Amino acid sequence: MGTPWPSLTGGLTNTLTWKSVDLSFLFQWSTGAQVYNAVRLYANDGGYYSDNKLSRALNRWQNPGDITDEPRASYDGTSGARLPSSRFVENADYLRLLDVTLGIQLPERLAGSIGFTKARFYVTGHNLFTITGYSGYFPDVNASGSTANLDLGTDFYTYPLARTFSVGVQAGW
Amino acid sequence: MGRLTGLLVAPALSLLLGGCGSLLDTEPVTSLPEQTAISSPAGARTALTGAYASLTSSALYGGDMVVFNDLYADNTLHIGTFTTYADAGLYNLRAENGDVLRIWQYSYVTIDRANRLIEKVPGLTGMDAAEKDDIVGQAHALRALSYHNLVRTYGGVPLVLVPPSTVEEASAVTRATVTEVYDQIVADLLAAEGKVTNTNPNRVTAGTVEALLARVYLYLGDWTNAAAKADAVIGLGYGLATNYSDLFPAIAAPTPEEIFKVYFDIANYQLLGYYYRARGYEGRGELNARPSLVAAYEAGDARFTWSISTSPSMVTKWPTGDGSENIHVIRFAEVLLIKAEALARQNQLAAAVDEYNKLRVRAQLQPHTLGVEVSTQQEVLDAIDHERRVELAFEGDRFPDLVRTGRAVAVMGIDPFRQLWPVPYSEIVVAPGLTQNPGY
Repeated sequence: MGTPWPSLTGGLTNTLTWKSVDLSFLFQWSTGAQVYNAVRLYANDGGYYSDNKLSRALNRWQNPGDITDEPRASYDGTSGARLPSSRFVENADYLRLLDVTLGIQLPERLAGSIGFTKARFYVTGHNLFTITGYSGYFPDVNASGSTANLDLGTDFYTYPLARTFSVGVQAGW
Repeated sequence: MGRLTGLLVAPALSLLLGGCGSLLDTEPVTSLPEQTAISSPAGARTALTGAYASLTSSALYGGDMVVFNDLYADNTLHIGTFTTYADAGLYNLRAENGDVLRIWQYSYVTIDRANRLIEKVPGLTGMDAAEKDDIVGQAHALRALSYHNLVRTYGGVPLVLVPPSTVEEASAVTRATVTEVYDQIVADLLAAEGKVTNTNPNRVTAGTVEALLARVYLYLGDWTNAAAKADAVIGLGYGLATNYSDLFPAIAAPTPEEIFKVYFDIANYQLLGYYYRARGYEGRGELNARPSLVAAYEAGDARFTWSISTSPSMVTKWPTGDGSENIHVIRFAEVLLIKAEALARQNQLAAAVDEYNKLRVRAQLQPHTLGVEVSTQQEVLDAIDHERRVELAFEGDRFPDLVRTGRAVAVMGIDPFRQLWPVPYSEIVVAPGLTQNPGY
């Protein structure tokens, strides 16, 4: 019903310069993989386990005549919503802006005035945004440690990649 | 300079490499090859220890098997997070259940270790015949115990009596019938009868063999032999502990009730206390007692006071969460229950009532009188069932007992096919000759 291996992965990187400003970016994308979102085994189970539930549970079936894909609440687990299910297998296609760096080279005259022969200020962002239909934190996950080469593609409360910003200066003297 | 050193280095290296062949030729230090493991008396004694160690697995007496036989029944409630336990508690075992697989696998580990002892020990030199008999007898009893644990939950299972020599041989197993497995169990126990001289209740003793025979004969419906073997246990001098509470703590004085228990301590611990106790009370709150069990205890039953706490709500049969308490495989109370039921089934009702009254008195309850609280055979059998349920609660007896007495479907409300656990799916994958139980 799915495969954790993407059929296509790729990236796009480019550096643009205009006078003393440079901008470089790196996109990364992947298509064709699915991820088993095991968080939903506990967080989307109809209420059997004590974990907090995802807000999608508000759309659960409640009265005859309701049409929804969220199972009804079942505290005693008899509805079967707590069982492993293919509804937890989600599409893991994503497009991610992995890196953006904006740098400004100071003119030599200005650089000299602060004691450097050249100075370039830059600000970098990592993992700025991700476009994905995956409902968990991030689709590029693997909850396994030592068996990571055998059981890919499971998200079990896996900590996502953080978005980081850094600023810096490249200087020479 | 460079070329000269090159001329010298190459022959020097080859001398070195040729000479340290023996240095590189070492044997693994943590495992022995199968051919030499049981080739000396010391090796045999170590292998016997290994067979007992396999019972301590968290899949067997260290956890899952004991849990499942109460959880997949009307005693234990699942309130925690293990998905395998959730399946059992909701009476919905599936062939992919990981604990159903582990219980099967680790039972066969014990069987394999027993098989190797039975095969190799008789031919050893340097060990006297009495000790050989003792070791082989214990191995037979362990094998019988494992097969009985398997057959009363999975039904007919592969009968492996010699260690397989190749993977192909091991994969070619097929399931024996329930009758064939029970025949082998009885044969193994009879082979052990009279041979075991060990007296340490942390291992199989002569009394263990008789008690296990009593249990197996009860399962077979052979009331005469069950009562006879129960009497044999009584004749060996076992008796009830003075208080129910004497049986379960870790640092407990030996009681006359212990027949065979699996030894645990702080370093090699069982998980039952940890699973049954509540969070904040040395446990993880994985399991609790079902309301029907709590309601079943009579007022003033000392077994209730010991086993169950209402505030906080948890099972307190194991007083700590560190798993250092030993787990009884079979104890004298069960032998009395076997005798009582065997007598009742043969319509010797007064004698049956006398037997189970001993458990009631020990639990500080009033004994029954035939004709007053119980009169008919069915009432006596119901009373015995009640005593068994509250006496052996959480000790891994309930589910196979319900199936044995034909009450599982009514009590649990399950489909009849669920009286057998599924054969683990991954076992069928590696041994395609195994057939799945119907309904799974």
